[in-house]
Amino acid sequence: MMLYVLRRLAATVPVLLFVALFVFFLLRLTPGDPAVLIAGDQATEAQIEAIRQQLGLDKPFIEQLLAWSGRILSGDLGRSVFSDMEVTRLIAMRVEPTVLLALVAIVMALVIALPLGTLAAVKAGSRTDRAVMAFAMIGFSSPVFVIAFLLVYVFALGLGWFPTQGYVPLANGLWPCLNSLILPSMALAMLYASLLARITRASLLEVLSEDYVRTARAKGLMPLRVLVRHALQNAAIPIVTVVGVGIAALLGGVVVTETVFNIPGLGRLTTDAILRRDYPVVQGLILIFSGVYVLINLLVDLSYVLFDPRIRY
Amino acid sequence: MAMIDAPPQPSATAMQAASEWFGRLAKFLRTNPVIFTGLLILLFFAMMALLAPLLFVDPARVNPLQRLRPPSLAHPFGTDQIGRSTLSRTFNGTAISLTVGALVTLVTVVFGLLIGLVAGFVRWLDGIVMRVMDGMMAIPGILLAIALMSLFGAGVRNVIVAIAIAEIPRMARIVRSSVLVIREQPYVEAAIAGGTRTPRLLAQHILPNVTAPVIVQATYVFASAMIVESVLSFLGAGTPPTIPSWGNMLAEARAFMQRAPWMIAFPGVALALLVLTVNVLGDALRDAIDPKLARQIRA
Repeated sequence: MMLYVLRRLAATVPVLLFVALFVFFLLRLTPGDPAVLIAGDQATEAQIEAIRQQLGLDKPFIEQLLAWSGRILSGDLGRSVFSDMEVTRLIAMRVEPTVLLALVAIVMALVIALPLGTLAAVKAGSRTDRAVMAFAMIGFSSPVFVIAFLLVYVFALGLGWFPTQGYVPLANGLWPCLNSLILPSMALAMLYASLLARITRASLLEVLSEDYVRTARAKGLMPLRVLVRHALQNAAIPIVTVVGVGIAALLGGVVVTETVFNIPGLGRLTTDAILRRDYPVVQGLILIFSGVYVLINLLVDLSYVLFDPRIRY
Repeated sequence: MAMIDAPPQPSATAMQAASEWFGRLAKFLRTNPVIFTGLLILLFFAMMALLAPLLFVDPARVNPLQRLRPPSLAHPFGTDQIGRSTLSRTFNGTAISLTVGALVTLVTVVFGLLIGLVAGFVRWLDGIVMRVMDGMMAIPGILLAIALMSLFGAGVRNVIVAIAIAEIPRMARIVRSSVLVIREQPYVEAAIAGGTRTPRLLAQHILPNVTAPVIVQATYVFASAMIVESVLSFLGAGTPPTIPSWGNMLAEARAFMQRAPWMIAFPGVALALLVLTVNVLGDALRDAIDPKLARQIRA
């Protein structure tokens, strides 16, 4: 087991290395002078030169690469071209809303998707099944901001239950904070929940036709117990896999959701950084988001052993 | 399966072959009403993309006297903050979504096939190529596209390139895994043993067998490309504001959500309906082509 964890950890190193290299080359391989690109159309020659020096673009290529790798490894992501703040500090300031938003969305998605997917599988072919799957298909196809607008229109402008936008920090109390996150999380959770409901139904359907499920039923176990202990547990691996893979969609959705709802998190920072061509910030954010994604999928891989004791690493 | 298909009758004229093909197509559509309906809706959108500039007023025509008018007989979809027709802009926006969707799919299929075939066939390249693909897949798709757009600058061609780069790794992976299965098949070994040259082997035996998973994945790429295009435009990093696109319209409409909800409703519904149609088509095609594919691709 320990060996497997180490091996699996080691396997993520080249992936992260590639992401880091990709982020490095992205700026250098674009046609044209990156300093001019970052400075924008109205920049003076002196401003361009300042940016060139700040990013070390005037040094030889290999030296840039080495310096950059060294800084990344020591946790230094550089400074924002726009505000001259350290990228790591900028990111740290914006982490809270994004983490809470993602967590609430994940919990919501699981609470919606697992029971609905299970229901659809148990009643496969029925009207309930078709309704759940149609719902999932719509959720899967609607862009985050379209869902967000719909929710705001109905629940904030129409019913007045929640604020239309903005974020209340956790420091101002748990409830006000959660209240400000409910609509954004719901918008974000839709896509994720749809993916999960589909995979839950599919993998459960397969397990339900297995011999051991029939045996369990035949020996008179409670239907619910059969469903949870025999079926769901064996259907878990594909479901957890999608929980991991779906994080990519969730992280992309965060950028959009935070922009629609004016939440000062990492997603909003990404949009702002791009519109301002604040390249060091964009680089740092892509590294962070990809790192989180890789890490979560590593945890997902390791969690397989919980669901299937036959897996020995 | 290419191996089982009977060789074409030498006496059959082109006319006969065509009518036979149409007969088979008609039967396929009759037995798959979902695919038929989906194709009809898609056809409607495609017609709109072509005909909208002729059918409706100029989507860029400003009318300061008719600002933020709700839907009425004169303006069936209402007007926006500078008096442009939402009807005209919505239907004119179809073109950009379909163009981006189609071209991204084309580029993704071509490069995905190329990379997947190389990785599946040239063993020593497999490791390197697939590690690079893994690395690219570690960057969430929308973020990768956004990052590329921040460098390329706004523009339709750049949107297509950025989205395609994000989609290619997954397609390559699907092609590669099918190739790995197919090359172990006895008929492929027999062909190799019989001295079939590689180009012929690829065209005759490998390609026909990767078509099904590629077609199914292509429909999902098409749908997701349209979503990502609208997201990029919505964030201001996609299609330039001079071209009417649903993402641009939604971005502008945001500020007028309370006063002019129709500005959001029409492009929003159009986008969701088009993406939904393509996704439903993808699911139906997958079931029609090969039910076993279901798990391989989605998971």
